[in-house]
Amino acid sequence: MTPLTVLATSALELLADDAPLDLNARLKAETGRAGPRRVSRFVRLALLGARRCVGATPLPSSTAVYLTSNTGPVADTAELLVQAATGQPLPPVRFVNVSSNMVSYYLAAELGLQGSNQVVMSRDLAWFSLLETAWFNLPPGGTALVGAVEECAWPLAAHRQRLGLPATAALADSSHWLLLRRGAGGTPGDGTVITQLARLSNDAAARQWLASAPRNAALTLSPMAASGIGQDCPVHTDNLEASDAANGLADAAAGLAWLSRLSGRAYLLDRSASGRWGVIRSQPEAP
Amino acid sequence: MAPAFIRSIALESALGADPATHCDALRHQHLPRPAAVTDSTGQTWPLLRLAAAGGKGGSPLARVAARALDDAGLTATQRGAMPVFLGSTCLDMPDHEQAFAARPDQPALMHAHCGRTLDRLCTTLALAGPQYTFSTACSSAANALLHAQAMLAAGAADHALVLGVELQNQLTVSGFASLLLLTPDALRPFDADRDGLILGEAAGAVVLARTADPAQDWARLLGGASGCEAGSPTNSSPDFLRRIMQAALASAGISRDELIAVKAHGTGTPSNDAAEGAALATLIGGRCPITALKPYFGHTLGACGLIELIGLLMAWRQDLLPGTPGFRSPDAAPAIAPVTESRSLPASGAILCNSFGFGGNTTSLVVQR
Repeated sequence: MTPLTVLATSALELLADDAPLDLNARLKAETGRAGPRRVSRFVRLALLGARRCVGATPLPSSTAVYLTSNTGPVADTAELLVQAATGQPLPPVRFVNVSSNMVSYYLAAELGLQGSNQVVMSRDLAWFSLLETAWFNLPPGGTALVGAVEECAWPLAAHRQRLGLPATAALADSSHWLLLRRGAGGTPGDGTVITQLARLSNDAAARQWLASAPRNAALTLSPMAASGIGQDCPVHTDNLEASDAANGLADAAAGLAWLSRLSGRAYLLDRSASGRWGVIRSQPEAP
Repeated sequence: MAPAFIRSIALESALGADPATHCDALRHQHLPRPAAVTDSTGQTWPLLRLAAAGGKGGSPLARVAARALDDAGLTATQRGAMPVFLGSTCLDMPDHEQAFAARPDQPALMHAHCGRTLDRLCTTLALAGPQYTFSTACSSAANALLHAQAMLAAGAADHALVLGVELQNQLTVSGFASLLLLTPDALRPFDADRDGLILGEAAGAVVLARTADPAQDWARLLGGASGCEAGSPTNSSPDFLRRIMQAALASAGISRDELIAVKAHGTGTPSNDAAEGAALATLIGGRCPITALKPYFGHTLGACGLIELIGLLMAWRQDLLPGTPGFRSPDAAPAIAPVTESRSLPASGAILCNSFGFGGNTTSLVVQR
């Protein structure tokens, strides 16, 4: 398939404190305008990251939005679950807003987009799976905003318990975004291109892949991949640093960090907790 | 895009758990008797629960998945590698509600992860391929089907398992009640006196294949289109719905004159049916019969795109287009009049299937036999 050109990226991780950060104020300060009325923190977080990524770039109305999240709008969903379970009436607007795709809806509304709008979640390799969604679905010349958004819920102690994390684990709100276009422009400086996505079924397959990897390309391991392959990696690799936060989509953060420092043909290998691998091949210019 | 071949299907719904029961109900309009469920304010609503006959062998989702895989004749190796797709709105909300009721001292949504429902199923059935959970409200399963077709067309897999599930939970019942979208009476798609929807439980599964097996295939998924009209969180305009249907036909490479039927989304709510009816009136007019299947299954939300497709295919194999119970008189123009009685359907042809969701998420598919 033809490559995906990376037109813009934005990685945002906001370490959580005792009280939630006022995201509307942050939206206004960083992007010059507040978010829509009556939307959740989750929506505001998505808008903040997406606005940082898109900037002032006008997007075709056919631009698709692909979004992933591990826990979705967890704060509002948990609150509504408790209200429903304890015999309280549900506020209709909040109920509609816990539908995961309302995030991408508000994004589409703000940017005037009418393209495919998908929320795709995966227990394994969520960011890689989302890139696959763009890879298999974007038509030639088509553009897509691809995002990974994860919110905290307060109090943080309860959220750590919910996620099965230690009481001292750092948590963060995060909003990571890529703007992609199907096809390589072929112009120097046009942007990094993603030229291949491949899956490897287990650690043995990854080890074998690494042993026979192209020698003229840089190999980078995500933190999960590095810990999965251990000390006896068959070839030299760069290893990405782990995020400070224990929640969120570490694979999205790693992928964006990797893209931002590409200097030649390169491969990023990521690994899920269950031992499945994703390989992204990329290079700074069109092939 | 190359078509995907619908190799096997399995369905558990309020109508039953096997094709014969479903076909009989769809032919004779035997509607399931709703259960009474209570929302968080104490008000009671009808809901179409899964028929008890579904029975043994794990969860409804695991049962239909296993049946579809068996019927497709896939080897353990093929099953182990195939991508698996899920369209659902509830995901594991029923489990979360049960857990919170048992342990209210713990935070709600313990071990929350939006991919957990599918991951558990894949573990149970030893499915080790990629997992994709689509959550785009009531178009979720239709979008899952489209993505599965795209993967097969790209040659990334030979088979794909596509699933849909919706199960009763308090949050959904109470939320839809709060939106004034539930009817205490009957679901009447496109009827002038429609006043809301009835929720339904169902689990469905299909195996899609990259290459044809005419002796076994139920139909071909020719193509489809999906878009988002971000004008209103809960309503779409007729013009946008029509554009998506036209794009679906273009994707499938057929014209509206080649359709032998339309399976409408048909929720029975005033505004949704008004918009879809107006869109269908201008695009289809009287060119082919239109039906809506939610009176049989209830509104199975994120799963409905798959559940209703399977019901349609079960009927189509019997040369049958089910009628639309509950419809009595058309809305003010522009309007459509769905077929009220079951009628014969040509063995070959193409059918347009609509699934529309909150957040302006609009998806239309085209299937062909």
